[in-house]
Amino acid sequence: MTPLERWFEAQQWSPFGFQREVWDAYARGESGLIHAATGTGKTYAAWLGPVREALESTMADRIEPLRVIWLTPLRALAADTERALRAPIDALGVPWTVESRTGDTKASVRARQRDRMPSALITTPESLTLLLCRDDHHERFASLRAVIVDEWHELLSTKRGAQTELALARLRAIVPDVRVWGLSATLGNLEVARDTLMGVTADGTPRPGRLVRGLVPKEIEVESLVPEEMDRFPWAGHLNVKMLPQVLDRLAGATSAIVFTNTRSQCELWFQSICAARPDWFEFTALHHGSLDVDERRAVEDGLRSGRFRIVVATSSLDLGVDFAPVDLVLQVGSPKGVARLLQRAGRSGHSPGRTSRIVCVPTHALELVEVSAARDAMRANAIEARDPVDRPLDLLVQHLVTLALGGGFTRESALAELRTTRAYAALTDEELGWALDFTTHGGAALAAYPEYARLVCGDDGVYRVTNAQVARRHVLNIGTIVSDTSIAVRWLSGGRLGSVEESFIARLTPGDVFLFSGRALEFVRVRDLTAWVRKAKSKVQAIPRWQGARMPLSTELAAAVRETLDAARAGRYDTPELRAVRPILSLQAERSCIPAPHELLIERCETRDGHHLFVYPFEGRLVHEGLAALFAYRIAQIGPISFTFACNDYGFELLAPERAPLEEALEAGLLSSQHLLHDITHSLNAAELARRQFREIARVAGLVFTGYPGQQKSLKHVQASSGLLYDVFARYDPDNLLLRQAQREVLERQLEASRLGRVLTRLAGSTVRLLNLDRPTPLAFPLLVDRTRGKISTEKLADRVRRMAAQLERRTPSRVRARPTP
Amino acid sequence: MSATHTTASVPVHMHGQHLVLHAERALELPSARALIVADLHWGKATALRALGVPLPSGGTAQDLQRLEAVLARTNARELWILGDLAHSRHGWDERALVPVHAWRARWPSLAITLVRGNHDRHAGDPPASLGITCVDGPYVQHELALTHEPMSGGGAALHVCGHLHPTTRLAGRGRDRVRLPCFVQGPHYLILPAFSSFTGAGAWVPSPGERAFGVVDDAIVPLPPV
Repeated sequence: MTPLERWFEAQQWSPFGFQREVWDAYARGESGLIHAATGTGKTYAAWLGPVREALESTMADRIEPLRVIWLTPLRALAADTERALRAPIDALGVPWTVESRTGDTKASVRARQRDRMPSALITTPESLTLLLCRDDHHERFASLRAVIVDEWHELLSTKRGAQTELALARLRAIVPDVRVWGLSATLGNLEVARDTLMGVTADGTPRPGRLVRGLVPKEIEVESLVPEEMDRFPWAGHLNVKMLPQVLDRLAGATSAIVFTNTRSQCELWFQSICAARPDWFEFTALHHGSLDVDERRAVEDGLRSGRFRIVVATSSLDLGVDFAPVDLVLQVGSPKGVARLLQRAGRSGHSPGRTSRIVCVPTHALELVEVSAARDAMRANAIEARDPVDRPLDLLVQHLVTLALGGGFTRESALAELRTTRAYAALTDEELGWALDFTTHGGAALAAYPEYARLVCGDDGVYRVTNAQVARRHVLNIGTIVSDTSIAVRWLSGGRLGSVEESFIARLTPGDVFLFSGRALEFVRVRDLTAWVRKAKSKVQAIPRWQGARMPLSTELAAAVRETLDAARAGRYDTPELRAVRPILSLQAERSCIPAPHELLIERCETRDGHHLFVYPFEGRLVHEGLAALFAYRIAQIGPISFTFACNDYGFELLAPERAPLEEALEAGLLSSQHLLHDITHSLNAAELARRQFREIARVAGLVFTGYPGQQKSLKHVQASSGLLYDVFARYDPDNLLLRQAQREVLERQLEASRLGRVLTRLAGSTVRLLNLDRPTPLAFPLLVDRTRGKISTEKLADRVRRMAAQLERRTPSRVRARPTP
Repeated sequence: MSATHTTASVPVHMHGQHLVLHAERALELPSARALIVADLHWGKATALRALGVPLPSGGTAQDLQRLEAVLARTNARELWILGDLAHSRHGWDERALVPVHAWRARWPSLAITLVRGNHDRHAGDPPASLGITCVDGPYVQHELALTHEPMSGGGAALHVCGHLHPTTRLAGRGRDRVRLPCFVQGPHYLILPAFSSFTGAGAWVPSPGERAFGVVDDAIVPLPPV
């Protein structure tokens, strides 16, 4: 028996077949991707290969140099990962050190690591990229044997995934035979996920990699808490706790439970509500979300493991990673919005063999019952979402070129060759690289060589380097692709840290206001030095912070399932508990308007005090609706000057105008036609400022806006310009800038799924339009009606719009004395 | 209809003074043949470029054209600048000054006075070649107290300032919304919009007794009093 098997036996485990498969493949020098449900031994499948190798090859008395990099998408996971990786190391006496290096790591530890890397380094894509910015990183990584990318499915379809690919390409350039293993949850496109991680050889073929399937998902049961009085249950809005009594009943019967929520606001609200209703539970109830201070989060994770906390209210911050002990009960507040997420969260319960995982969904508004019912069907049909990797993001390329320049410099040829070994940049053209180099050396064609602007300088030897220390400093602080508002630390007046909230939330508070954060009612005292100072509140809570971040859209797979579920309801088949519960609402929809059949497109028209509304229901998911709304608005507005605002959700979209829109005329003129689609959609994107919005992320990643130095005492306002302002300047003076085109392309491809939009239009063009004039909004219309997040599109002159608004304002103003009567 | 009526300029009478608001974001005092502007922030793009932000050029030239348009229309002899003429010392870089010198050469007899603002104190005074007189506020001219930042008193019945970059939000039927730079008229003061088009919204919050005049394209839209 090998030492490893003895250790397993001591833990009263026996290795699974897939774990042995990975260890043997690793020993043969292979790379690959392991996919399995959460908590089924993926970690040790990947980790023990390198450990076994170390046992066989190292001297016990010498600490080993850097051998393994363990990449994790969430720095919050680093501590748990460290613990899990250490256990076999310590037990088997492997002379390895295991340390984390993330944004949370202390400066003293980082300094020590600068002199000597641990044998196994647990880090994030951003922190790894930072290490690549050091000009001696070659020596640092020369002894590396393996990179393990945890939760690869989380990174895959994001720019962070592309950043990981770039870092891997760099490491492969230093250690050509480095082995790369990914860990992933089940996805609809696992081969693509593997190939993306493996990268591409010089001749353009994917590098080989093994796809290892872990344990088959357990039996999963999806249940819903059903409102007792459906007529009192809200039609929209996710911030209500109507279902609290039933949730408390369930929690009372559980020894341990996680209450998953979709947003941090929901998390705060439910924690507060549970504790207010059951003060006796306070000491074993905790909350966990990404804006809380890291120590607080760790205490909660430890408490969940040790049993000190029985109930944890969490966001996706607890979705990932670490195998803490399974809980009895998993509750999901709101729709899970995707099949994979439902499976993953359900997987947190009932780990012991043969036990069923169970998830109890808690609707926050009526139509979420439809989504839960549809999600269950999609899960049974195994319709798990695919995640597509990112293609050639130029903003990240610009960032990475500076990284390469800092990390010892590069030539154009070496950079192109290395970049093309990633799947993300395999198709990068020499022209695109040339543009990115121009852009970083002198700002591109439109900037006629400004000497004061030069991030990179190309030497006589053809090597690009960074020569300006300020550029280097800014770059290092700006690395990464996660975009967020300026965050403001929240601290007690006495000094303790609570976490952080976004500046925009704090800006709306005045001293004395009370808000809910970190599970406590806090009185806002003042803002100073980028910190919101608070004390314990005596009065009642008035506000819950809302953190920015896209609302989770319904996945394509789940949207399709929702259409089928609604069709069943239309045909009178109410055969799940959720559908039976939501029946009164759907009947009301049928009575006031209709539930459209699959071959019908329902459009509802009505007028309210706000203006003239059109509600259109393709049931294709929010992303497609955003594109359709812009396209509809654009095409209708071609008939005559009109201004629209629009709102979208997963079921449809609303167009709202001050005047009645010429819909019939537009339908006649080809509103649903897929002719000139690319032209019309491109113009509507610009008109609706969707590309301008997308530019925020691109500007940040490409280093055009700077988020500031950590611990900066003063605001950097004087050297900042908002991305919107930058977009306008570029659009006006440098319209061919590729970053602008990238913004457009990202909206087209990723946000709007242009090809899907074409298919949807073809479907809609072949369907029967049912245009109904209504005197009041329907249950389907209501959530759109109250949605305050709106896009806008207009073919009126700005001055005309302003004149109309000013006139309305004048009418609304009571007949007070006006400043000066005019003739 | 008073509010729907928009023009390129709007006359305002305050404390016995006759003033004209211009859509070019400038204030005219006809009796002195003077034009008043604030917050030009010359060289902001240059300052950003120096920090590695690859901004295309052209903004300053565009702003100068607007300034010429209103100078020509009002036939002003004096130009009073209420601070933040330069965004940073980069405003006085040789390259940034090229279009400025060309503009100055076309208006040789215009008397220019700069009332220093917070940015000017860091940027330093403009080079002598531009022929700009620099003073600290309040600068009292024709019963007007001119400063960069808002202040009380100042030695005249009417006080004119900049600094705040005021903007106003408008909302209308159909949930239409826009944000416009604006002039702000208070009981005994006027706040000017930032002249620079490369600035964001500032810190002005409407308070009772104030009235905003929005600037949209080439028109001024008087809005009802707060």
